Amino acid sequence: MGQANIDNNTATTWLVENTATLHRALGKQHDLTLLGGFTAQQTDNGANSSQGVGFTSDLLGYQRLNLADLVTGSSNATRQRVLSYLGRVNYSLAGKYLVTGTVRADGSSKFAANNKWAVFPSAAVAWRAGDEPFLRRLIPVVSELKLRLSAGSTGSNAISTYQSLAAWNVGAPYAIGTTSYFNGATLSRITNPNLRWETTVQYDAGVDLGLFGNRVTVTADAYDKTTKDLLYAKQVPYLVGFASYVTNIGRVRNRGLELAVDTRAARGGLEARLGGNVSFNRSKVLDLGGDKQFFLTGSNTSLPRWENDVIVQVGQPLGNFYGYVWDGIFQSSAEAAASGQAGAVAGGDKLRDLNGDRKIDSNDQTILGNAQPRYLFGLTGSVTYGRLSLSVLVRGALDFQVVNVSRAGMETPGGSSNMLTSVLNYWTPTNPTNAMTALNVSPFDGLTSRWVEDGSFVRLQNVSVQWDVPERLGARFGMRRLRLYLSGQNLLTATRYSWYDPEVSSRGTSDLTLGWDDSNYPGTKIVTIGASVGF
Amino acid sequence: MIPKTLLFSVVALTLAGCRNWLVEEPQSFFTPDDFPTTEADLRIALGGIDDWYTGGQSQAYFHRGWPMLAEVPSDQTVAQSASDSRYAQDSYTLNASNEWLWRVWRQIYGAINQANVLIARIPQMTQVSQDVKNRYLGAFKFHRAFNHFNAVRVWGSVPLMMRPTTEFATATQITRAPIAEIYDSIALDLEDAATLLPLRWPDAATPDDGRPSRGAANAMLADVYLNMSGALVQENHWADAARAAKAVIDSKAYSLVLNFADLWLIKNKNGPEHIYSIQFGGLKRNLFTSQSRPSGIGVESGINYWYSTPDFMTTFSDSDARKKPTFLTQVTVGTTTYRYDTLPGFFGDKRPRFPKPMPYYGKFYDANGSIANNNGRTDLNWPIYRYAEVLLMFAEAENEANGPTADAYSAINQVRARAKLPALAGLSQDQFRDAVHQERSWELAFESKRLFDLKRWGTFYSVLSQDPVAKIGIKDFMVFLPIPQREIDLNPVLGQNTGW
Repeated sequence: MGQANIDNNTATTWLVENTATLHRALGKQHDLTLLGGFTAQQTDNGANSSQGVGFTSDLLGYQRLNLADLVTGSSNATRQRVLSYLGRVNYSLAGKYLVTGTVRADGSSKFAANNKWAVFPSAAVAWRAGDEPFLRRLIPVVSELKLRLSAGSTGSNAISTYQSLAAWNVGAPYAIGTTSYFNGATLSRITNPNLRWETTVQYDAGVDLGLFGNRVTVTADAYDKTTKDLLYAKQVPYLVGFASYVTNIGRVRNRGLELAVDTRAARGGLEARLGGNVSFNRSKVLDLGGDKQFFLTGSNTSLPRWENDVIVQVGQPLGNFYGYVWDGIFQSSAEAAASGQAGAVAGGDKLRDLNGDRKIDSNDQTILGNAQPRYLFGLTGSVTYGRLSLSVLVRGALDFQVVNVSRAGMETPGGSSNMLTSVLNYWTPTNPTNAMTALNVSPFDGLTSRWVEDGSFVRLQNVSVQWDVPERLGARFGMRRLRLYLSGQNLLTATRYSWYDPEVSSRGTSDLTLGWDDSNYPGTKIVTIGASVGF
Repeated sequence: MIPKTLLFSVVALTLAGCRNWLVEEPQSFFTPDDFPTTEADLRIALGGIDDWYTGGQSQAYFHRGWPMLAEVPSDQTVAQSASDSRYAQDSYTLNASNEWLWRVWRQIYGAINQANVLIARIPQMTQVSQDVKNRYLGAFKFHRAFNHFNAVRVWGSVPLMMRPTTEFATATQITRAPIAEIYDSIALDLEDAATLLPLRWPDAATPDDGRPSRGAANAMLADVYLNMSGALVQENHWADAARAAKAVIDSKAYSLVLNFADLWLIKNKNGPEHIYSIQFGGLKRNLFTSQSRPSGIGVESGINYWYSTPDFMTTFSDSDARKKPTFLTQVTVGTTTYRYDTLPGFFGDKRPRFPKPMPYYGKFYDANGSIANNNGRTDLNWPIYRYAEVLLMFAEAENEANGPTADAYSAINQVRARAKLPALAGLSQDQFRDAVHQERSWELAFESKRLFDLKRWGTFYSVLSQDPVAKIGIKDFMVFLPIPQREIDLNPVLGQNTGW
């Protein structure tokens, strides 16, 4: 009985970055900097593991794996490389008119043979309008004014290695008669000769404004980013023998505005700063290569029968949840029988029949929420008096939803594993609640609006106090400089979300699968006390 | 003195400048350029096909998924739950999104594609002898036929995939083939396989060791011809079915095990009566044993997914030696004895949905396998074809082709003799046909045969509309289940089966 595993993983990376810079000042007006260079990088990942199953005793733990009746092992290795050539020009005229141009050519081993390289140029212009004679007169009220425009492209190769190559995987267990083997070969991929870089083109316009001798600064940016050739595992029908393949699909646009204001005041020995920032972002899927939409199929949470619960649709943002609308609980068998919902019982989840056809099927599913916040904001403040300083950071995100999968697995009244206390309110004919199913009736086994919650939050992200100890005190201990600090992170969160932490991402960091809380480990509160010492 | 950084950079730049620096060279998997090339490669590719049968998400095929489509919806098995995807199959209230549809479909077509790749590759292999090529070609044709056979019996018209997939752009243009064409292709593959495969693989200890053999190909061929002669295809192949079954009988490679209960013990797997079984063992252990084990009986508890019916149990005569091993009515754990129908220690359905207590499966249970200690899994194999079924197939086919001949009686009476039932004699063709049908229901109970028998005999709707659970949702078009919704969403030209 029993099983023990030993797993080893190694990752080795080397990176070479070489650039040469040339700086020339030509006369008083012209300033030119040229930069050119290349970078090369390689990452080797290796893993090996051994497993023992069927130990005669557990006294030796995993330190003697070959005590087990059946010992198996496996290993694998991958390698990826990136090579880049880059160049940049910085030119400024009279210190007021700035131009920058860059170009880079990146090659990644992960892409198909004819698509390994891509070129990513960018250009930016800026005008320090505040330095112009006609605006200098506004000093000190308008102490700084800079206008910026930029356009550029960047690339992403954030996929696993070897996705463009056909592959036979090895390691499937099988038996021939009474002999077991562990080296079965299964076909897992065919070639994708078109796999290439994902490209994002971004346009940005911005203003930096300083007022009252830079006691107030304002920064504003508006951007428009379009990503094309998104790298994604596109679903194919199972009848071809595969479930999906990594390829480039579609275009997505993100547009938004970022605003930041910072103020400073000083009087006597007291110095204070207060700042805030807010950003708005809207995403929209522009194109899916001819498809109007696709679902993420298969099960990707701890509840295996939750499927088709993320929809990517042209015209919609990414991160939409898709499922049935929850309408409370059936209050009687008659109501359940009349509903047209398969498996309906009194005391069970009631789903809304959106199209009124007296059946609950895929036509009654709809978009239940979105994981991307409409507004992100932050507030910073700091006060310094002499050697003591205090700083505070508050941040938050508003108007987004989270799917609480954790709760969905813990609201079955009478279930055999641990449940929330809310199940004590289980439905009975004498307790006609609309919030909880009846004893031994599980919630509907699929995504419904019952599990979609508002994730908006405001968080006291950071508070820290710092004291520079006076030199004469520190000198007693032979210290030239002593600084003590106390700081706390993630101290308080105000949110209506019912679980630990609304900032979660159990299904990975892909934009398509944000906002799922599947027993995610929450962010932790950390209080740190420390000293920085110089001798 | 050249600075180290400059030196390193020059080296790196030179290396990086090599044209091949960004080419990916796999280190721990094979590409079709170099695999398979040897006989050993073919052996692991054949083992890998088994992984489609025994692996996959949620025990998708020959643990849980296959009986979900092929046994639970029959009149001999009842799903324990009253409200989930298993119940939906049993009560015919499912829709095209039922998970078992796509789970099994995925395994079927994954295995078919792998078989196709190898069928295309084997003729081009130069380092392997013709003998070896023949064996493996036969094996992969068997697997291609087996999976198409499973698909056509469940869904009717399905895509007929006879070539490996090389690109995905045309995946959205693949249509379903007519049923008769699919069967013709299956029969052709199996006729080829029967010629190419040996009676027993050279290094095999028994005729059945999980690899397809000539006996397995002929047994399946008989089954295929019976289906083609049945209500859903209606082409007369009774003589072909009899011929294929006779080939198995005449090979004298198999015999009936004397004690029926012995067939279901782990130590007797791949025995003289087994023709083709899905193999389990090592790290791949099966779950189906515990699927029809009751819960709440201590260390021998299973996951209580389904059971049988008392009505079916009473169709067995008490002198039938198969009755006791087929049904689980009593379990003794330590000093406690649990019975299916009485308190205390009652292991029947605690929330009775049925008027009479339901017995569980006795087959697939090996009293020496401690279920609880092994995560509910055992090393028992899943028998696909047994010699007893070949005898019954011969009896049925011979009767249809030539009336109840002496050979037909001999075949069915061997099965009956093993069951300690009296021999049959002096029956008309119709009576003999009914007797064979009845004998199949007793001999092959719970082996995922019954539902397909009803379908090919044309009695699917008439029998199941009397079944207390099936009649809840059943309609006659449900003889074919719906094509999985996901497939139609991703490939709209497939279309859906009538009625769904």
